[in-house]
Amino acid sequence: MTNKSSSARRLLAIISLDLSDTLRPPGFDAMILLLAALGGSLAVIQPLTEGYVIVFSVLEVTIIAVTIFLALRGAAGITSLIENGVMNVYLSYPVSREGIALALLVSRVLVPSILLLGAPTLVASVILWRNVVESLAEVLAMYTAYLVQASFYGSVFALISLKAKTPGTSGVISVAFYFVYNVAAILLAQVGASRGVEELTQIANSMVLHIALYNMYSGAYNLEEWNLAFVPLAAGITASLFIAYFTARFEP
Amino acid sequence: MGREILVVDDVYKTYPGGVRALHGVSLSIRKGEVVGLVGSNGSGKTTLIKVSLGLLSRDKGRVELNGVDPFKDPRARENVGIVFERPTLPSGIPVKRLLEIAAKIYGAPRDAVDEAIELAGLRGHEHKSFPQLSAGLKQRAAIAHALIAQPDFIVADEPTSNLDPLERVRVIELLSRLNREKGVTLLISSHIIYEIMRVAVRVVVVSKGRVVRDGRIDEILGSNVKARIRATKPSLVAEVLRRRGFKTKILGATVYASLDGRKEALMEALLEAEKLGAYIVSFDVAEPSIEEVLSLD
Repeated sequence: MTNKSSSARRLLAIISLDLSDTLRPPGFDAMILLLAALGGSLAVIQPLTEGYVIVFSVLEVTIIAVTIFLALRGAAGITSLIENGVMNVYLSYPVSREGIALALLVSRVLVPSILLLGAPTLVASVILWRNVVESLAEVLAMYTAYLVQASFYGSVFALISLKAKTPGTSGVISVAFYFVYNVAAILLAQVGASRGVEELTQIANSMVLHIALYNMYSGAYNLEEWNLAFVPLAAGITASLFIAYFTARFEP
Repeated sequence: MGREILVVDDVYKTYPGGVRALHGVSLSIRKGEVVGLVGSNGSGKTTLIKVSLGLLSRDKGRVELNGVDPFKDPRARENVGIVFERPTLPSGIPVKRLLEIAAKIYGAPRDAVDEAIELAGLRGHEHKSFPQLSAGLKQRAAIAHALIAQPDFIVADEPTSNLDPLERVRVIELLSRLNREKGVTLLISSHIIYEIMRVAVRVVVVSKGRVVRDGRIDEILGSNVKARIRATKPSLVAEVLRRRGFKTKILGATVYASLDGRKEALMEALLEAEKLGAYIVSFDVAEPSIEEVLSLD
């Protein structure tokens, strides 16, 4: 019990230490203010009533900015830690490698995603609070879908960051992955629709969780369970790969 | 003698790309010892330190830090303070806040932060962030960070690199004081052997990934103390010295001769060289640099 509480205390301390870099001003402050303002503006100019549509309209633009932040500040920041020697400092603490890898995922991917997606959602929810309260479950589900999607991207970027030589390379490869992934999803959807191949459309739908959920709520497509499971599973696998690689193979 | 804090036994390490950094290195350090790890740049000192701390894996061999394998068991690094070659610490927060977080990680009491700031000579600068500090203060911050671990053992990898001569002396003196007053075991690496002499009794010399010497500093230097002679006609001077049984080496206008305790014979040889037409500009007796220790093998 004492060991567990001591490990948890150390893990939290490393997360707070690393967050001081990930969330450092002015980059993060400017970003969160901008996204909150964006959320507010979109909520005001679009007369939306349904919870899932409110979140979709606000976060569909936001997730692009969040992904770029995760690539350039979050994951590229891991490469910076390796490059400037701070990773050696982290590894010199009496904390397991699994613990440090987990702390990096939390501070470089999860916390920034929660905050950056949360700020515009919160502002829009305050403005459209009556509609949000009426469909709170939808709002939370859509927010979670965006969060899982961002976490998937962030975990892939974190993996890339361990192999990249410089933060710039890490950022560029990560952003490239994001665009290739999304273009692939669009192409599969279009080919599926134009050729009438339902399987391709299903795959395309499942590659972006919030789109799949939106389609489910709107009734546009008949979704199967695996359509909703694909991205969470992919996020879990990439996060596990990051932890496993960091633990067994990574050398600063 | 105290218990063994660090045991490195027949360790091999190859980096991706096939660069072999360590070839069967063995080393042990006991509680209370001050050990200098010396070697030229690229000799494998930093790799040896990182493998010893569990920051890098090894291909083969055994490493035990505080009785456990540091690559597998992070408890090995409890009470071990580490100062890295390029002093680097997380930069987004004031140094004092960083030390407070480090204290939480090590489970150190809150007053350990003030004590470390005081001991490292960082008072008055603790509210600045790491990048705002001068090179000397950065090194002191790194030492304060190492002290937060409430260390029994401090590993300092080139702790004086990038410092001016005055700061070098201060940092070495600070580490020495930690050993004298608190009994902290020290492993200090450097490529400047005379710097290590200020604090270490035992020296481990690393060359091309192997331990080539391990012993008391006077034993290692004893046979390698050399005369450095600046002269016109250095070839003539070297020839005279060689005839009298001295091992010599010419670098530019300087002749190096291994002394082997034969000071009088050296003086006679120099007088003879002058009679033969050489002019001795200056000569002195010097402890060798690490390169010189290795080149006289």
